[in-house]
Amino acid sequence: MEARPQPQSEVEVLRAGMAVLGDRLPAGWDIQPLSRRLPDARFDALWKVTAPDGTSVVLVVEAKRVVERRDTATLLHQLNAAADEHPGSRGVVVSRYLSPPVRKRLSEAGLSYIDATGNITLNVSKPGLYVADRGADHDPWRGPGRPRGTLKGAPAAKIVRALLDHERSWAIRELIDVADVSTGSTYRVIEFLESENLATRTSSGAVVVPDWIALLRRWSEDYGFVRCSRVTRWIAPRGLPSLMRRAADGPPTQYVITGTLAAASWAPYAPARSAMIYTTDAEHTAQLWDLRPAEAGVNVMLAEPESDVVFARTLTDASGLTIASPPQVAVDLMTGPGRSPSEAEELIEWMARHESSWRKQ
Amino acid sequence: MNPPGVSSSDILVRSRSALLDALAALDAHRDAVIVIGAQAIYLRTAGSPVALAETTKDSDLALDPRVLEDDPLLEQSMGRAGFYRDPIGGQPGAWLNPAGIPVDLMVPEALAGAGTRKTRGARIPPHDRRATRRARGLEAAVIDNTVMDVTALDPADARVYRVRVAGPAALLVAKLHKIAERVSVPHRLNDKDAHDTYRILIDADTAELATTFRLLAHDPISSEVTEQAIEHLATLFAAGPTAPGSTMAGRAEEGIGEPETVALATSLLATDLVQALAST
Repeated sequence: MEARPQPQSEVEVLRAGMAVLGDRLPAGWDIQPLSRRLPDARFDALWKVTAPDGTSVVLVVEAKRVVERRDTATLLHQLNAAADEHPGSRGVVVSRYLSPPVRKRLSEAGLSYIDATGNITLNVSKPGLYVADRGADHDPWRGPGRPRGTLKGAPAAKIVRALLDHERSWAIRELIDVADVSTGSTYRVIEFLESENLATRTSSGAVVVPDWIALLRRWSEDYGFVRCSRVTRWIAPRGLPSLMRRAADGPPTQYVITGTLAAASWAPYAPARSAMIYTTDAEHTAQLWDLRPAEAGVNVMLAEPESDVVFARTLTDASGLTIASPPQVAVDLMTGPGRSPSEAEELIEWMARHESSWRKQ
Repeated sequence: MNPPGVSSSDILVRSRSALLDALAALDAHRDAVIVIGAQAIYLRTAGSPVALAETTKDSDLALDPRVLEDDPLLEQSMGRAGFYRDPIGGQPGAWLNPAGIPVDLMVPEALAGAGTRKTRGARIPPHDRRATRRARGLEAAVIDNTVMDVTALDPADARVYRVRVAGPAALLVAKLHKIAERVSVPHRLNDKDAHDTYRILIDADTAELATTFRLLAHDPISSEVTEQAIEHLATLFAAGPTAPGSTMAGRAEEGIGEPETVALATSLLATDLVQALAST
């Protein structure tokens, strides 16, 4: 793709969008902006597209520098209302850059779209016109060093865990304290969650998570049991029941059980064939528990986590074992080996049915 | 009421019931009777659940001729309780309870009296030569055993019998002889016996096992079979996860458990024991 200057204003976005469409119209077709007397808050421009036979359609255009998934509903509502006043017209969203998930969401909502990198889907029934083209799948104008919009990393994990572990609305200050994350990181993560529709702010500014399952699933896209830890593989030769007794009764070491063994405390699925355990020092823990390093026949994975959030708000089961918080167990299973992801679904189902038993007020 | 999944017709329940029948029948010889075999292994390793379910049709009892009374005769005691000798095969010592569940009466070869390689029945007069069967490897059981309460598995059956049960080391010695005999006759390979070795090894403390093995190796009755058992343990198990015994133990869990893990665990624990024995 040729290097293009970044459209800075909505006017530049509109101009770029019209150029993208104009370049892709079949021979004999034409596009012109319609001048308007009165500004209308509901849209930014009207374009008239004329077919070779003289028939035409009016496009009601909403230009936005940045479109996020959560904007879709508003855009749809806005453009439908505007299009109603221009019979036969079609609503189009124009932006600087539209990411693949945003494009997908717009398509699902039945909206046509154009971005300045060349992504376009335009569907008009009269005169019959269908234009589709692919531009960039990554924002070409994203500056280096700018914090990426993801939930990767320790601060995001800490904030997400705090939000998942509690059923409440948060003053930012409280969230900073409970999650133990810097003010800047907290704002960045909350901003990202807002842009993804995973958190909302009340009129007083409090943070609320409307759907914890959606937040958990979104977190699992950026988290990974293996990716976010240094994992070593071992065999407990006397089997997992013996290992669990040793962990509960043996000499103290910092650990927390996650995965199938932890999930079994709430939603037994199938006998665990391997243990997933977080610990701060794998070699030391392995020695205490008589684990032997193994390549094949492994039944224990020890994970030294990149964030100590895995040790936050743990539970103790009836036998004295330290168990990770249910959302931590769920995300580890979602991103774990073998049958783990399907076990995660069982656990999430249990969590949904018993929310009050594990989500603190 | 039976717990879910257990019906009184389950083979394990019925064989435990037959064991209790036999213990009652031999009550006059209680001091000479030692529970061995799979029943003893399950009694000893109940705390270490594994993927392969416990199952056995047979109950094996070892008799210690040194303390066995002359009266009543074994064949009379068994007959009075309704046991009869298994008509099929004609093996000495193979008895069936009235429900047809087998109970074997065995005598360690070193204590079984005169006999050639072909002699199958123990010679422990005045008891009948077909009342018991001689077997090599059981010598350790008359040395290493402790008294345990044996209960029925059917909750409706309230019987409890206090009886000597072979210890983990003696059970291991016996199993190792059985596996070694079968390794040379491949079509009789029995993976379950190797898996029983795994059950014992994961449940027993290695240092305690080693202590008992040393004791058995010093007792004139059991020293020879114990030394041989340690050699079998080294070659069949400690040699690694692909050694014949380790592989068999793993294979027993094929489709239901973790063969690779079981094979590796068995060889690691066997190595621990062999090393513990070599270091003294």
